[in-house]
Amino acid sequence: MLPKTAIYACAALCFATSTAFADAASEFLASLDGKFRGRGMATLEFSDEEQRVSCRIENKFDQSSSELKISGECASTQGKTTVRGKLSVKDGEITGSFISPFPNSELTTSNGVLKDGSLVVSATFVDNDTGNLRRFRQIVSTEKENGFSSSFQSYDNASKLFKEAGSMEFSRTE
Amino acid sequence: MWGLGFGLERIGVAALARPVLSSILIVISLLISMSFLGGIRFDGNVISVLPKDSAAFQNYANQKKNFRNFSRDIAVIVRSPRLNTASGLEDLRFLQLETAITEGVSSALSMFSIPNPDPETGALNQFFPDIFADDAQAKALVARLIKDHPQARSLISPADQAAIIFVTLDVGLQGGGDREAYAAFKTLKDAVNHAAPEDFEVHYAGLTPIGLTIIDALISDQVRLTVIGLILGAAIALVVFRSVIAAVICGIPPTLTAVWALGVFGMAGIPVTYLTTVLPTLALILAYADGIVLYYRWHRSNAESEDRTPEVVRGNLIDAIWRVGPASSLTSITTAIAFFSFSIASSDALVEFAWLGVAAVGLAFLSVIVGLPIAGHWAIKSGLIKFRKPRREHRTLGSWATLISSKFPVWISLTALVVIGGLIFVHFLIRPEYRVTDYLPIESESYQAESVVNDVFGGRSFVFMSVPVANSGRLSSLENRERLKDVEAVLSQGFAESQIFSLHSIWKGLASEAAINKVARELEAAPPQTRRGYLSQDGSEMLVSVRIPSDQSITETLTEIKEIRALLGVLEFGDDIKITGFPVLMAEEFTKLIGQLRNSLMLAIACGVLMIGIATRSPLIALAVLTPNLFPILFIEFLLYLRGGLINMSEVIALTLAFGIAIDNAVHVVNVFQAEQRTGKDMPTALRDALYEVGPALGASTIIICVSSMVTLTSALPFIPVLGQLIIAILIVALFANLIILPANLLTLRLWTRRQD
Repeated sequence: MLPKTAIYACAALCFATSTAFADAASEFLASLDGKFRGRGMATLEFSDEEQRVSCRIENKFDQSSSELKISGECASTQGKTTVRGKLSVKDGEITGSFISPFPNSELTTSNGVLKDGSLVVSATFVDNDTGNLRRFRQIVSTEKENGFSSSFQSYDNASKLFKEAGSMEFSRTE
Repeated sequence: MWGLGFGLERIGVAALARPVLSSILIVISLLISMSFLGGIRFDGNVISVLPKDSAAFQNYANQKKNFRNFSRDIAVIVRSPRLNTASGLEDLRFLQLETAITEGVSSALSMFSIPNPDPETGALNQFFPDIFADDAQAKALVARLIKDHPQARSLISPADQAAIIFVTLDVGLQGGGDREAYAAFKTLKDAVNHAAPEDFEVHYAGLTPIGLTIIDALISDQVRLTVIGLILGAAIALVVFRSVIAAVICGIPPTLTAVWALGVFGMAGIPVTYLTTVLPTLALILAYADGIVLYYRWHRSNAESEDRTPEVVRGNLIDAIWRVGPASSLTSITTAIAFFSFSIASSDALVEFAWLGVAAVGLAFLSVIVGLPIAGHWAIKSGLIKFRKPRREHRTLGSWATLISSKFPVWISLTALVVIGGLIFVHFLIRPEYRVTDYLPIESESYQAESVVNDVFGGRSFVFMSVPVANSGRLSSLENRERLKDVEAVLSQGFAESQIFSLHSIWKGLASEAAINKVARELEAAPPQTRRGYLSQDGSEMLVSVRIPSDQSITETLTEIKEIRALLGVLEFGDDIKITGFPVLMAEEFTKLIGQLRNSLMLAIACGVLMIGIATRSPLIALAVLTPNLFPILFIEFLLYLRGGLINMSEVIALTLAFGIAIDNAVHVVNVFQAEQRTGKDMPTALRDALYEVGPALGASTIIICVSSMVTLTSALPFIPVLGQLIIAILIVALFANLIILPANLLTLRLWTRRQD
């Protein structure tokens, strides 16, 4: 049996670690606040294949709720679509989706971790029309000066592996 | 009983009787007008002159509502030798994407948007790869695209090293106002300039850039025409009177007119349009011309007076008002009638133009009859009036006119009658003309862009055909696909394949039902701004479009519309297809409007002549002034006919206004002729003396108005110099017609009435 002091010490350590993570996560999300333009490759809703895209997004971080709201537009040569997302830090956990990749879908579960200066968000969406579940992973890295990079991976049920589904480089405009 | 000027000259005499009160009123009116100058609005919309309740306008409005407002689309034209290389095409694709995500942009389409659906599955693949391997591959793919999809010629021209990105503004979908569209266009321009590589030459074509260009030109024109007009008028007065104070006094009426007229725009909240922009300048020219004539009379009396006390000089001023005022009143009335004649047109904008024109002429008259005497009053008080002898008058013009008209009066009258008969025949041969590019400054960015889009791509204007869907329903049903196929097939008899667009170009590339269903699902699920490009909001109509040049004459467009109607008539559902679009609206409505304006011109002539008959109380004089005042108009129309047989709206307006000014010559001749007759002279002697006196004065006033009208040549808008040129040409012809044909007619009518007796 562990002495009481050890339990207190462990609890204090866990709390400290959790608080430290929460601070780091909030700080990470806060660093994404602003207006950005990006270009790269992605699959948009009206297309069947990955193609070149440009995006214009505005991220708003709310300090009080530790919440980052993402809204903007992405265009390919075939058309354009609005994009939205929301990431929040609660009880030391990051939840939400950076950019909702599937139209007419709802986020069911999500989990985010900070690793080596990058945020990795794994999420599951349910298609409102078919009821099918789709898994998606987004990696946001702020290593880029005055901007960030984002890559997307979708889960392939056949190979049971996450496969590259696009990547984008964003630069701060304001 | 009224006099020649209906007693309006009394206003000037009354004002001079209370100079302080009149001066205060003038200053107050000036201050009020100036306070409204900042609120003047400008409207560059080219369709603002069209009647909103016509069938063509309603069709156009319904098409915008049911589908979307295509006339707000902007063609971003890119020119660069690099467009034939892989890197250039990559940059073009990037530019399209950056344009698409610009705020206020609903969609951006380029040759990269042309899909390459899988014939079997209908999967919407891209035609171009994500990365071009090399220049050879890029060139080969573009060539194949044009071969497979002839419509791509409207998006890329490798030979001309040019490409187009068609941009739809958000306001185009929502039917927003001009202001929102102009703001969105400015944002778009900034974004494109930021994203385009340095070696991309970018132009913007479309009605939104055109509207903005016209607004810029209207604003710069108001300042330019007013300032240069005032300087030019002052220079004329300086040359005529060799006196700075004379130039200043003669400059008062036009300055008052310009400020008052512009103040009326601000006060009434009426925007300055490409029609009304010329009104302050025209009013200013009239004020200068009449003011100089009034000052000339006063100056001459002063020079001839032995006694030069302020009382006598003031008396000379009153005398000048009594002598010149009536003619000035009647000439203002005839010019106002010319303006008023536009009010019979069915367009609200033209009715507005008519009333504003009447107001501008009225203000010009007031400024002359009140402003100049009051300025003269203060100049007398300040001892600034100089007594210089007027320049020696050359009576050559009057004596020549007498010599010619009195020698062969009957021959001249009959010849004029026969010539006018022939010219009336030509009048009916002239066809209406309108080109939107005629209203753009030639050196403007917009004009260059329209030229490029028309010359390189064959145009950006669309004639739309709304094809009703078959009863059996869906867009992709066989019956509906057949309908589009049939429409395209009949249209291809009159137009190149590259000019015709519809969903048929997608359907024809699909080989299986599965592919058709897959593409149909994509089309039906597309966002509204995309879907309403091919299917109406309620899903009851499909769109087929034919691309034509934006600088195409309305006469040509009308012929094409008739051809299209005839071609579609063979289809079972042909009668249910609505043909509309901006060029259709312009062709149908401007043809009507120009016809109405030409009737206005005839009405102005009839009313002007009638007014002279009433003022002189002589039907014979009214008859005599008819041919000399018809002749200049019909003669200039004949010259326009020789130029190509077409007449545009500005030219008809110019002819009408020029008539209103030119008939003044007849008024002056008749005024002095009747005055001479009243002294007891016999008719030929009275006519001779009238011509001797009036000839030089008319020559001088014609020169003054012609020189003043040259201010229009400085306008950025191309139709304003044309207006000035036509006014100058008509005034010169009218001068000779009223000095030769009018006296000849009076002598001939005298001979005729004597024979009757």
